[in-house]
Amino acid sequence: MTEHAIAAELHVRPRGRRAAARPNPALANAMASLAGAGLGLTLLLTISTERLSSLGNRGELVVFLGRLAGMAGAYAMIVLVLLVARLPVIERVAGQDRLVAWHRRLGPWPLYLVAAHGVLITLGYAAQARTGAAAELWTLLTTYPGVLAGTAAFGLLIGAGVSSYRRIRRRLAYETWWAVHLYTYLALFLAFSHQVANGQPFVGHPVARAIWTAMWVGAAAAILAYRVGVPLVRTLVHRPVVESVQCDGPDVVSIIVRGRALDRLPVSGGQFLQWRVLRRALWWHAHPYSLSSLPRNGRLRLTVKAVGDHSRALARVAPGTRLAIEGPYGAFTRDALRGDRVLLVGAGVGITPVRALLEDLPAGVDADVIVRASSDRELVLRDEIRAWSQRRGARLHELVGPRAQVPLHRDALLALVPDVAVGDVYVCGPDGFMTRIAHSAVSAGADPARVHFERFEF
Amino acid sequence: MIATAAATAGLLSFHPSRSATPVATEPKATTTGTTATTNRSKATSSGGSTTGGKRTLTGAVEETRYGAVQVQVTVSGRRITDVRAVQLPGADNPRSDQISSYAGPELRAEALQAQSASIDVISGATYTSEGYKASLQTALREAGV
Repeated sequence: MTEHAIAAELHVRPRGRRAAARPNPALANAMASLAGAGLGLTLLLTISTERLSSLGNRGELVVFLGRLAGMAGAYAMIVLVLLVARLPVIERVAGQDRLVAWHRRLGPWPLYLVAAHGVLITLGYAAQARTGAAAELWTLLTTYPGVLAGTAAFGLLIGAGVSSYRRIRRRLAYETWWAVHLYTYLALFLAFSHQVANGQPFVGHPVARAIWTAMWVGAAAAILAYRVGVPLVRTLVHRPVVESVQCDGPDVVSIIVRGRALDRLPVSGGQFLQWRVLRRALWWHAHPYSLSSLPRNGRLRLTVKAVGDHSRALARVAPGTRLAIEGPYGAFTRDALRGDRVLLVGAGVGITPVRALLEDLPAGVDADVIVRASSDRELVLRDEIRAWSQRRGARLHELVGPRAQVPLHRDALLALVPDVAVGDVYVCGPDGFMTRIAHSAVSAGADPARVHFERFEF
Repeated sequence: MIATAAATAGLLSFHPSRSATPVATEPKATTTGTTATTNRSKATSSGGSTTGGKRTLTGAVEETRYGAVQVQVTVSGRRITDVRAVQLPGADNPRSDQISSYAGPELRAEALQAQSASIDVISGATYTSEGYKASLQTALREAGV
């Protein structure tokens, strides 16, 4: 589809298009409360099956703390995988970039807790049996069925943790990191078998065991449904195929995707999907790309900067190539608006979701649009942004030039948008750019809760 | 992929053979009488036998959270000459098995020393100790010690 064709379609009101489900903050908060209640329940299961009067006995307190650490670590694993299980309820409210950030921040905790669990249980049992720690460790590994499985699970989790450590991950191929991370599912399976085989809170307590099993089965079902089931069904229903690829700037390509009933894909402007190119050596690697225009006439478009191996491969992909989709994801949509005054800011290839968001803005919203690039050629989708700004009655500010010549501090922002304090601010671009804009907007009086990001650099 | 599946199956099917039951770790008492077990509900022991002033009595089965405990006591006159665990927890739980393997001998030593059922709880083996004590009590009551 050429720019001309798109411009001609501006006045065609798309029919039958579905917006993404509206975010429900109350439900998301309920999920957060549920997560807290789950932790409480986990600790309660552990405490209630312990005889507190015997805590004074030799080794018993150490063993008890070891059990608490093990159970809390196991529960943290569930929370950790659910954070990235693409659950629509939390995904639509928090946004995937934020969920991934939480997943990363929480990531080391199960490892700390499980390490503490192993050490404390070994020391406590050794004290009770009046043997050395090494002898007790040997007894545990060789005579307790399930302990070896638990230890193997711990090893796999350490692999996932270490390979995700920023400095190490930077040196690893994505493939390696992904494969190691995939093994955490096996680790969780082994860990669960260890918990039910050896977990003292469950011995002689069928109810405790049933509650615990239900928690794990529920988490597994949610992961299967939303990480595998929904993407598979959407891919099979819509059958997305590359229709054409066109160059939209230096290293920037737009890919027009055609499919069955794509207009019915529930997506809002500003959202992204995970894309897989169904070709040998590429199919297993999903990448997040934002839509740069909403679905219309059974087609949608993504605009990609060819910087990585995958996006370069995508730029060369032949028309007719099948794609698999996961998503749409992201909270960078009109649903985050809290008023009818908005500033949209995009830099570089971050302009693409801003373009789709501009198209999707509700009628009656008064908008300013800032697009930023270091040269005219890098100002992607310029004509479309102009056309849509005009159609929406939005004031467009094109900031082109080297960083030194284009200030973005508070006063510069106020000169462009004097009432930035009263509206919502949407920013998409490189991390440093987003930080600068957010800082300028907040110091100009904008509400930090109304500054919305879409982070590209996961 | 296949290696992963094989390793997983291996880990999950790893069921080490323990040295049978912890009872075997106790000194073999020469069986001097028949052993009859009773239910906890009866709370009394039955089955005793006498051989030349020595009597062997079996205590009640005490059910604990981790499994059943039952002891057999041998008395000579009013003296406790031996205590044997007929049942200790651990059949289906490795932790109980390990606890029984060290708590069993300790409880026996305590009982022989105390010459009564007033024995201390072994740390880390609260349930087993209590069951042991209760079963011992019923056996001793039967023996009239």
